[in-house]
Formats: sequence, C-alpha cells, structure tokens
Amino acid sequence: MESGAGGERTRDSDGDCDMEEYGQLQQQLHSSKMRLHDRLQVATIATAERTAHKCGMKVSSRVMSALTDLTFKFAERLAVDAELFAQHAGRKKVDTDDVLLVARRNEDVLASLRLLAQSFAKSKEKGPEKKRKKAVADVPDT
Amino acid sequence: MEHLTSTFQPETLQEIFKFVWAQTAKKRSKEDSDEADPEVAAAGAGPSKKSRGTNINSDALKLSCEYLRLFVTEAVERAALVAEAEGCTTIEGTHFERILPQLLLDF
Repeated sequence: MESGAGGERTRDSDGDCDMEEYGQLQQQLHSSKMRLHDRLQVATIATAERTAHKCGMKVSSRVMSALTDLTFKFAERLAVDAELFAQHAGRKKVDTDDVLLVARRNEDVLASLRLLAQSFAKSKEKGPEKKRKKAVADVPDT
Repeated sequence: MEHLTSTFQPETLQEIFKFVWAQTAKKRSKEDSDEADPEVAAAGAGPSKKSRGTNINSDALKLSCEYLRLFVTEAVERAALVAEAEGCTTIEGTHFERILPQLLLDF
C-alpha cells in the first residue's frame, strides 16, 4: 500500500513520471499473472491428459489452452467469491465453509467436497484427541 | 515426482488467490481514496489494510484444489463423451464448445 501512496503523490506533482511508473507496474502485474498462469497450466494439462487417457482420448492443444484459460478464470472467480463469503462472515481468513458455499450450486460437487472437508476436520481432530481416547478407553462403552 | 506435477498444487493456488485479493484490495482502496481526501486515505488506511489482507486456511486451500481438479476432469470427460459419439479419438474445439455452456452452469 505504501508504493500506492507514493504513486498517488507523484501523480499530483508530475504526470509523465507517473504514466511511466504506471506502465511498469502494469507490466509487472502482467508478468506475474502470466507466471501463475503457466504454473496452473502445468497442473491443468497433467490432470486433463490423465483423464483423457482413461477415456482413451487425446486432447488437442487448442482445447488445452482454452481449458487452462478457463481454469485460471475459474480460480480467480473462486478467490473473489470465497473472499466475499469470508468477509460476510466477518472473517479475514477463508475457511472450508466459504469454499463449500462457492460450490453450493452443484449438489454432487458439494457432496464430494463436503466429504473431503469432513475428512480434513477429522484428521485434524485425531492428533490431540488420540491421547484423550486412550484415557477414555478404560471406560466400557456399553 | 509424477505425483507432484500431476495435481493442482496448493501453493500455486494460494499465490493466485493472493494475487486476486491484492488486486481487489488495491481497487477498493483506490475507490476509497477517490471518494475521500486522498492524503488522509493514504495515511490512514494504507499500512493497516495491507497487514489485514485476506488469508486462507490450508484445508480450504486443499479443498479449492480438489474443486479445480473436479472442474477439469469433468470438462474433459464430458468433451470425451461428445468426441466419442462423433467417432473421433481427439477432443477438438467443437467438442469442447458443445459441453461448455452446461459445464459453466454446473460449476
């Protein structure tokens, strides 16, 4: 935010300098976005090829690049939505519930994601609760 | 090694999320400073807002990865079905176009 404040000040005093700075900033933003895009592309292509292989299919390169773009946009939308849901809940940290809310429209996706979220929660509980269980184990269940 | 490259990495997704959140935060602070006196807004909201940027839980990140994976596999499987019906062995753009509207409605 500090660099943003500095930019604001230069805009007031010197227009040309700010334009140059703005262009550089825009370029930096673009290159970092492309880098993230490339990293996502690796994962997308691997996943898509594995799935296609199971179906005995090949995926053309044009479809691959389209699918990558789509996945990146999808991730961006997911980020925006999850942040809004977290803010609505008065949190600064995105929780599993927020992601589940983003996926609320599709029941099947929601069910499978909810199962995964529950397994995460369980594995987290197991750590500290194992000791407690051992202590309770002496007491007969019936 | 194969396993590492074959799925969506939580780290990658986290960076994408942070990137998007930084952009929205910047947009919002710009709107705020346009409304209010710019110098007051820059001095008051600047550093405190940055330190309180949106964050994400590791479980939520893993869940997002799974969501993306489901999205991609579903897209390819549906397109493969269409390609198979037309007797092709390669998924082409036309097959992908056919499944796209319903896919976007479903996710």
